[in-house]
Amino acid sequence: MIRQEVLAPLARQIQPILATFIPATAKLSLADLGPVLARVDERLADEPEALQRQLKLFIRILWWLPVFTHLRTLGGLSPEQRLKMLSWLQDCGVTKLRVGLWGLRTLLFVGWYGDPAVQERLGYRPNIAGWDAWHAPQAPQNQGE
Amino acid sequence: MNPAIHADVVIIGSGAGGGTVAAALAPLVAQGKRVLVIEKGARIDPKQLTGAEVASASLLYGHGGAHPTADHTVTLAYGEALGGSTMVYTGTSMTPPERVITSWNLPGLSYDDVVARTARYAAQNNAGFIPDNLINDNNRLFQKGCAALGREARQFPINVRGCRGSSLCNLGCPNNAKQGTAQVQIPAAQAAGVEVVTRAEVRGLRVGGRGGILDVFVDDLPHPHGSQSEWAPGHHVIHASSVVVAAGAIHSPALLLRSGLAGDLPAIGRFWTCHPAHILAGEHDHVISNYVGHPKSFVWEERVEAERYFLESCMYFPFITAKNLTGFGADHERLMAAYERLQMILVLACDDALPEQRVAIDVNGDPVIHYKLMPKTIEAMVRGTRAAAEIFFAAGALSVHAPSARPTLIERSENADLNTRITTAQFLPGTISVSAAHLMGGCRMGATPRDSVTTSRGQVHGHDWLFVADGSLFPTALEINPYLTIMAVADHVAEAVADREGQTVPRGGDAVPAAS
Repeated sequence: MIRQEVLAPLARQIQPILATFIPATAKLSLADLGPVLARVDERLADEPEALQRQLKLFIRILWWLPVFTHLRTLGGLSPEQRLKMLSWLQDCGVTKLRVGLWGLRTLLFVGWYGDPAVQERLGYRPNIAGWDAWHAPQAPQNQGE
Repeated sequence: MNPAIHADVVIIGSGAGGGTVAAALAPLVAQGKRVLVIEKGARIDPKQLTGAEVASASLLYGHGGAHPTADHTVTLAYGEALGGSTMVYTGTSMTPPERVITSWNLPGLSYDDVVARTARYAAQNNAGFIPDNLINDNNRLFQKGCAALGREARQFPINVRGCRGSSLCNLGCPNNAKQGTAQVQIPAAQAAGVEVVTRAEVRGLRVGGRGGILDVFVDDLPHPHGSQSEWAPGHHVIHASSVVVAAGAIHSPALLLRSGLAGDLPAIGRFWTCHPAHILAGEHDHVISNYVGHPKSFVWEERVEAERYFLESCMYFPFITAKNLTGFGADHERLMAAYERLQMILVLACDDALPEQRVAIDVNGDPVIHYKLMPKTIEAMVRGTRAAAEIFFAAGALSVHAPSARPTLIERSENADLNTRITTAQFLPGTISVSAAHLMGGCRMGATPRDSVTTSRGQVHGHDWLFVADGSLFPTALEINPYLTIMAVADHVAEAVADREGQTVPRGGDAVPAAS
């Protein structure tokens, strides 16, 4: 099956957004972003083309928006400036902008927190055997309650 | 095109509604009737349920578990597989509140009747309390917090058999322990001769012959795990004496709208409602058992009537957790890193079923849900959020992440300030993640075609061959987890279908024996 690329071609524009949403990703190279965006694209594959177009347009708007305020693109802003700008959008009075940012944030979370390796680093180690696995000698032990 | 198919009863959907009707009408097969179940989703083998969060969600849910409303401020979750949403629920088996059923004022559907039917299906599905040793810290902390505040948390009866506590209920039980319709009613119906066709979508209904004509399309798209359809790909036409629409509260009204029935029935799609919900997380100073055991053991519902919200203990997977925590950046990341120490509570609101809250269809005939969070509903969610924060702190949490607070993290030292820290002004639709899994209305039962779609027996007004049998029938929000009530109402509808077919069936789900 041919994998459809939706956000992957916009990796350069997405990189500073992802780093703002999830600071741990700031050190990822463009190549490292590949698997993250592949998970996002997989999730987007069944969504209508109109939605995919809107999403790409929204990312481009985010990229160019700071030109009006800082005379540079999103990629040229400091991490603090990016955080300030995206936080402002998150709580702004225009529902469509808030929804757009929420949607992009959610998709990038799919790409990052949907990765089983990241989930394991968070301590999430589900097992079909449930309690049997939890109580097994090597399993994480309950330290409380 | 494939040859025309003739059947006596066609049931569209195999979830709590369709699965129930299939089992209840299975005895008709022995009386010479042909009964078909048409399911849009795939048949899933439990071995294919790995617990991988994103892949499983794509496999089991419509829109991957996040069907957005028209303005994208709420996402809706429903199952799309054989078994419908019973594949992805937690199996909480609740009897509906008397005041809700009584308020529906439906002739022939009394509260006592609904209770009797829910009891039979609860027994059939092996509903009961899981043993104490299967309850995890996350759930116990909810109970502990409630108790410290003088609130009574009720334990949920759960319909499981052989639960190992994988906590993967919402991603399809890999141990086949949950007793949904794919485990209980559908196999019983098939054993009695009911035919089940998966990966087949009904795109239209027409009047014709002895009843209705259905246009069904069987897909031939690659599917990562579920089995292929039992039928050849392409367009199939089915002639049926009786048709039962049980495709859920989004797709049932959408199908009736696509079929051109709205002219005589202006209420189709309208009075749609749900229990909008969001998650709160409390951070403890030690690791707790949270992603093992049954994820949902307790409910606190003492304020549902007066204040229109109820709270449930819950636990979600990492991506869903990340999505539901408001915001981003270092604070969000730090909270995610504390995943093993997080306790979670789900706040659910009850809203009014209003005519303007509705399912419509787009130019392709696909559903569009015009649903807005009304001020009263937001107020209820904010009250629920405050009550949940109190429970977290009473259970010993160091801090609480509250979606409608700014900043979202509330420290233990701020416990006395919850009324000012958590406010409706900070509840911003589009910023806060709100989702709903209890989807209701859109084909509501009622007395007249002016303001309802079906009779109290689920028969569509003016179309005696056409029935509805799922949560879309509910005239108002149920105020509790709905699957068992959907089964009870669907069972009631099945009797009306049997009457139309001139047959009798065992009453009250007796076609399938109660679990031993």
